[in-house]
Amino acid sequence: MTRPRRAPEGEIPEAEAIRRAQGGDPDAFERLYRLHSRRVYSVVLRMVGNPAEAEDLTQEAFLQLFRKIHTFRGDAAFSTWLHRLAVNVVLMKLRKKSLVETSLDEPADTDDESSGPKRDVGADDPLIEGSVDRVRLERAVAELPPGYRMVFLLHDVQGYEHNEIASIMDCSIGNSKSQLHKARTRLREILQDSARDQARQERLEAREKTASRE
Amino acid sequence: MRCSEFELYTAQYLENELPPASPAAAHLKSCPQCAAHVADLEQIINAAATLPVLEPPERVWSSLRVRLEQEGMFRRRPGLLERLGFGTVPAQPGTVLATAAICALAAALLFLPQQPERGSAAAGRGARPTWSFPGIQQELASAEAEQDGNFNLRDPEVVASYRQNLALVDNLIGVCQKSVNDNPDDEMARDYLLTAYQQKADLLSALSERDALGD
Repeated sequence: MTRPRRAPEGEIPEAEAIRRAQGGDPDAFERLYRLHSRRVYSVVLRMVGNPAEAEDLTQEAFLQLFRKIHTFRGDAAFSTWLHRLAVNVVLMKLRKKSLVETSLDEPADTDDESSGPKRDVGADDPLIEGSVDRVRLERAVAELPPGYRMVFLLHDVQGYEHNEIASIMDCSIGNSKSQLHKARTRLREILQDSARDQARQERLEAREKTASRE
Repeated sequence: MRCSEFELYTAQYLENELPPASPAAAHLKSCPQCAAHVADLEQIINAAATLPVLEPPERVWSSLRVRLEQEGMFRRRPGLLERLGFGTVPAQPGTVLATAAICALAAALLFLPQQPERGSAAAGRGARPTWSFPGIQQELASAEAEQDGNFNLRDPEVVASYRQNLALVDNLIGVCQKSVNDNPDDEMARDYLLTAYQQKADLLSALSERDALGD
């Protein structure tokens, strides 16, 4: 994930922008915002599901970043550092809402995320019908428990590696891998349920159509 | 190997960490059920990689910028007056009055009770309501026209800098107005528009102050 960023012609590179922002250059702050805001906003919006809240939280994450930018020494990737701040802002918000227990390394036994989905081997295990389109996947992702959702978004959508996610989420690499697998398996279940519902609906409509013809 | 045992290796397989010669890999080749399960997960992974990156509205940066300025995080740039090294020449009475009028407008914007006019973007069914601030627009247009009339008396560097800043602030007003038109019920969007007007009033005020203090 930690890819070198090439600045388009005429735009200052990230490292230079960081250095200038540390000196209080307003253009450098804007450059850093333009470089990273889309990825931060994307993950935040998919976490909270509400555009107005996502805007506030994105702003808050960047505000925290810029307040601390003078402490950035370059020993971690800048985007990882920024995502760590954004993740904390989001998790804090979710905790305040009392929606979830978001600790990842020590999940409570009763936590839905701790037990994780299990494949019922040998039982009826239908496949996801057709290809998974974006809309269905977005809906399914929104149904994931927050801890699973965050790891899935960071790894499978944003392209971070497990060691980076471990740093962002302050958890172990093993935990990141485990959460990701549970997230994917849970998504498959959600998509299966959705496919079943859709098939049921289509059968119902076909039956009604036939009945009305008769 | 049984399917329930293979389950433990699924994540490794998807992370490309499963040796091809392992019993788990052999099971995957021979078990259609586990192969289908893995194919589903791969489908999810592939679809996830195609989810679009989402663009935050421009107002997020506008608002962030205001907060950064308020917190004093930006290194202060020399103002227009400082950059041009103005003196303390006694001001002309006329320009003092102009400055006072623009400053009053800027102050009024700061404490303005937000009562914009609500209209319709288009007549007829399905027309979306729009918001505008005709009073402010009129005042700013008048102040701008007044400044335009004094260009030949000014240093070309001042005029160039003013025009550049004016273009930026007019662009910001355009973006904010569009945002208000697109989201007529969004109070935040209207606040941003007012802030943009405020910036324009500040700019006109700075130019007028410079005239008042003399070249």
